[in-house]
Amino acid sequence: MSAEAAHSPMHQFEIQTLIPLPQLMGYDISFTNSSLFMVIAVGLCMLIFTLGSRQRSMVPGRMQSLAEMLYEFIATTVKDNAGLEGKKYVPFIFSVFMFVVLCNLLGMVPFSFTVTSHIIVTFAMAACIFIGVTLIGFARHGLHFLHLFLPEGSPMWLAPFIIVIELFSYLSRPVSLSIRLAANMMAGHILLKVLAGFVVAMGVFGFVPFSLLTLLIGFELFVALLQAYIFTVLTCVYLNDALNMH
Amino acid sequence: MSDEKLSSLEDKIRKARDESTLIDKPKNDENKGLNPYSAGLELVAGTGVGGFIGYYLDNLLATKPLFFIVCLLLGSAAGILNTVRQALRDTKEESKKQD
Repeated sequence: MSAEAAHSPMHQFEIQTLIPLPQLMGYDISFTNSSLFMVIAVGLCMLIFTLGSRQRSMVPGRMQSLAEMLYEFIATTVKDNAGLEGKKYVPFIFSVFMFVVLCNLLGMVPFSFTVTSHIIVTFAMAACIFIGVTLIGFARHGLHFLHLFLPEGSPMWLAPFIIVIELFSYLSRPVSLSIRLAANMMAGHILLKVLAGFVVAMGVFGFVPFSLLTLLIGFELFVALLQAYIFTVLTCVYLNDALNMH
Repeated sequence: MSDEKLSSLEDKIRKARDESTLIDKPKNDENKGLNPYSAGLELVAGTGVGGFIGYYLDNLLATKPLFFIVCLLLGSAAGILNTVRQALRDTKEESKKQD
């Protein structure tokens, strides 16, 4: 038997270059396994919605029903959290949700790569959302948007403290948004790999960690869906803060 | 009908049409985001952002530990504020639903 080095649980998060591309302005833009799974996620999304919107019958079949339920779910979430003015942002929120949920679920396929477990990916998305929402707030309210940092009816002598604390709490939004998704995905996958290592190491009694592993995979599927939902809901809440300002 | 009655009726029709294009369903019961991990994360994120900003302000203004400590404390306060707001938002939604 060949003496393989034991794979550490962190080996699954390594970036592997699949198609090397020349550097662009000093940055390495090669096509990696991360890019491959992002392309697969987007392709799956396009497939679901192309097949789902083909039939257009009044009583929907299965694919059409799936596409309609997904849209209705996001549209309801946006309406509940961002009000009627959030309607024009449904396409964007929808894209965010579908991308995150498909990337999370693709990570549950064996031997695949979880795109959203890398904080740079989730931080890029959260930073884009944060900057976009701030710009929307300024575009809609002008400089009055800065009143977000000094709520109505707060005592004037506390104003410097309140403004600084509100500013910090506003700036910590993209950080918490990105870390929540990345940490949940990374921790779940590390746990699965560590338990899988135990299955091999315990020999005959390997069925004990194996049954726990089965339960955990079910839990991880739930966490994948839930974290995508939480990311989307929080995006809608931040959008509501910008559009309606309390 | 007078002109203003007509225009107010038009406004009402437009508003009702807007509200009906998005499907009207009762809100779902799931936990909107305040699970224990989320609460702890908000605290850490607030403190982290405060520390980060304080550290760079210190490097900029050469006031070595002052801004770092102050911003760290303010960032923790901001984290606590975020956590409490999240908890209040969840309970406010539940009380709104029961109306």
